[in-house]
Amino acid sequence: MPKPLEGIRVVDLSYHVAGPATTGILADWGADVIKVEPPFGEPGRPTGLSIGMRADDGCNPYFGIDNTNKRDIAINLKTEAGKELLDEILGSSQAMVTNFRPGALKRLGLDYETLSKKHPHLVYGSVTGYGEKGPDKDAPGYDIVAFWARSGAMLDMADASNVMPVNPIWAFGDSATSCSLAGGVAAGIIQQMRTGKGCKVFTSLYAQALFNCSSAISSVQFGDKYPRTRLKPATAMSNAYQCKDGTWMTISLYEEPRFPEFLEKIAARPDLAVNPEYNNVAGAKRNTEELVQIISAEIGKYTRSEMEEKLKQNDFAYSIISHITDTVHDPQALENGYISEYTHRDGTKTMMVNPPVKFDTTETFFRYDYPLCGEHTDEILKELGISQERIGELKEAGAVYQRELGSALK
Amino acid sequence: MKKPLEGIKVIDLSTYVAGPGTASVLADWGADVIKIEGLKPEEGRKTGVSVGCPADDGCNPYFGSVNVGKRAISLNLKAEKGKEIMDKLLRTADVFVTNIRVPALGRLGLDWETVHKKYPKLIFAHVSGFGENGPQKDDAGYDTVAFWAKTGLMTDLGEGAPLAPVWGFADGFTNPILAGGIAAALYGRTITGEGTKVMCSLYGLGVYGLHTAVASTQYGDKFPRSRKNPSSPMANTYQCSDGEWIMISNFDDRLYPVFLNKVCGRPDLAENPAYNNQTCYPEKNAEVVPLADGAFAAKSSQEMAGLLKECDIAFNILGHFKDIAHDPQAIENNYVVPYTHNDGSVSMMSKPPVKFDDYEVNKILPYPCFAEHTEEVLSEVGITDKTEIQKLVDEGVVCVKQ
Repeated sequence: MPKPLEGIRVVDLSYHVAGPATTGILADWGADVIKVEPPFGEPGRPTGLSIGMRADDGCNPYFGIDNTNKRDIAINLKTEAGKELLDEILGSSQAMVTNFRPGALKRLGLDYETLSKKHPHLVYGSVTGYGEKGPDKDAPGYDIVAFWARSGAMLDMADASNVMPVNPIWAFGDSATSCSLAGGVAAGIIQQMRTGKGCKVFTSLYAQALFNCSSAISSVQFGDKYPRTRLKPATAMSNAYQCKDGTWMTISLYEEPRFPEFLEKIAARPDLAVNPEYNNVAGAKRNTEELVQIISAEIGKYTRSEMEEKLKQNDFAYSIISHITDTVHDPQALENGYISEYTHRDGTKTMMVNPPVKFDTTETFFRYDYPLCGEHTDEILKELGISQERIGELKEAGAVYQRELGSALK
Repeated sequence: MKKPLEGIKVIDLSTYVAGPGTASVLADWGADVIKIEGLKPEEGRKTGVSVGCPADDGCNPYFGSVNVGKRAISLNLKAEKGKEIMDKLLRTADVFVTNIRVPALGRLGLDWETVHKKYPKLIFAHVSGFGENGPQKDDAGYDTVAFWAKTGLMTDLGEGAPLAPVWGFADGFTNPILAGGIAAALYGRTITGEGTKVMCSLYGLGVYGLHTAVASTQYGDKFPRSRKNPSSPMANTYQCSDGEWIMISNFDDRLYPVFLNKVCGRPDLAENPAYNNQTCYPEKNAEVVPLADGAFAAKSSQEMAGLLKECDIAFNILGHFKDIAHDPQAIENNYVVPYTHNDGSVSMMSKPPVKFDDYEVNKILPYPCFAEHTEEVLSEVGITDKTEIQKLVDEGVVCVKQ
């Protein structure tokens, strides 16, 4: 079964995570993604070092996650010949994705206004920190500022008993945003297929955060309060509870017709199961603090395995509250291809996360290793029909660079 | 400007947030979405009550945010005639979106294998809690459970206490990417002529969200973190003299000297290669984080914001959810838009995060009341006769809006 975006060529003019993850998803969906880097490499290549990882040619997992299945051409966009070459590549591609800041795009002649005139067929995917309008349109924004800090997620998802804000995970907001932008680019390709015309598809880290927090943004306008604590949650029916052996679990029930069953079987209060002050959404909301005490006391009588058995038997949604380190080897993640073992070029093996949407099969898709900077320059230039002679001239002029494994970076 | 998915017909058989939200994104992108409910309103119509929102036909912002732009039909899929109507709907549809668990879909004859055989061109999109395979494939899973609790996000992001996650947060991942997967499959269909099964799960999205942490924990990176020992002092929170917190973020080596000199007031460290680039951290945290703590504590958040802007260091004063509905940045970009509910009340509503070509929200579509479009949708599959429709109502096959 071919991948859905086979035959679509996407030019990746992006760095760090939000842009590269977007094109990483499109590559996973079958697109031929060409990453364009400056000859000295994109700034995201060494980032893994900051979180204690290796970041070299042989093994660079942080960079690798978002850049697997791409080919790489190194072009110096400050040279005229480099600019012309990129223009040719864009002309023969269906889409491009960028997260350069607007000023830089304009300077390089890669802003939408310029490119849509030259290449009206092109789907132009763009991600910024805060959006293209508004007072912060030009502000620099990584995910931990534009996604986490700005949206309220860091202060308002911290437990209210706590004075410390959330410690966000790097690139979490980027990966959320990449999900949306990859989706939007695919929709743009549909439009291109139907009309022959491209379009600008754009989002921002901030937009993504607001979409993630949309239920809270709605509810605070009606008096709902954040931050919450587990002793005073939105409803006792969706909350964290602790078992006798200290294990924490989240239990969630939103299906009103099953409230009586839950009150009877899990809270062990058959009296409340028939009491309209408790056995429905509005009643459980009114009496939530009392219900939290009742349910906590009852769950506290059982061990983790006893409680899991009870919840499973009654088909109530729950999960043990785990740690990230548990997830790395979780059979549920492995069997679905969410995480799989990746062998880096130097033979090192690590577990790596794969893009989250699967088509027909949950098998992991692998076409190319994450590329070295400029690894496929010659190959791509040849495919474009550029003569050996001109390739030589481009190299001579410092406009392109072909990297060999083991050679030093330019 | 036409929306990219105009002319695409979507049948949405889903509840709560993950499925409905995906279909709503497709509606935002121009698709014609028909929401199928049973003889009773979908349970998600009531969920808003738990977070203190109104949840009635006149005003239902929680339900509305994931159901705008759809038409709703009430249809009993257990009745023979209901199945026939569903068959007619699927026959003319391009996409089927569902988050019903696989065994239940099987009982309705709406599992992938059956559907693909009957409608080989149909795109079948399924959201589950934990994935299509594995020990938990058929378990019930909401985002609180499958996305937050199971992945480790809930414990490992909190300092001192687990997070109190916002409901539906995971769906901000799920909805646009599954909608995108559907769009990709629609493109693929033009080449192969065949429909595709497109799958994702709340758990899988959580795992994707922590993709960097999954890699880094294999190299000894530890969670939960403390802000006293962050991965880098330039990716951390600091509290200002007025009690406000500021998050700064930088991954560019060139800004380390600027930070050490201008923000921390240590020109000597700015020139010292043992401090002035990202490879020096986290080793030098013990020295540099207290320096930064002191520098931030000596200034008000506004003063510090001015200084950071001057240095071109990405930052934000930590916000609250209640500020968003009034944030000009969110309003000018149409991330939140004023929405007039059926009863005339107005609240600010979040819009899907991807925009096409122009910023204008062309048309803010209503979210449907229960069974609001039953007759209209029936007429589109050739059932127009009033007595025939009344008979369907009497036999418990459909409901019509009173």
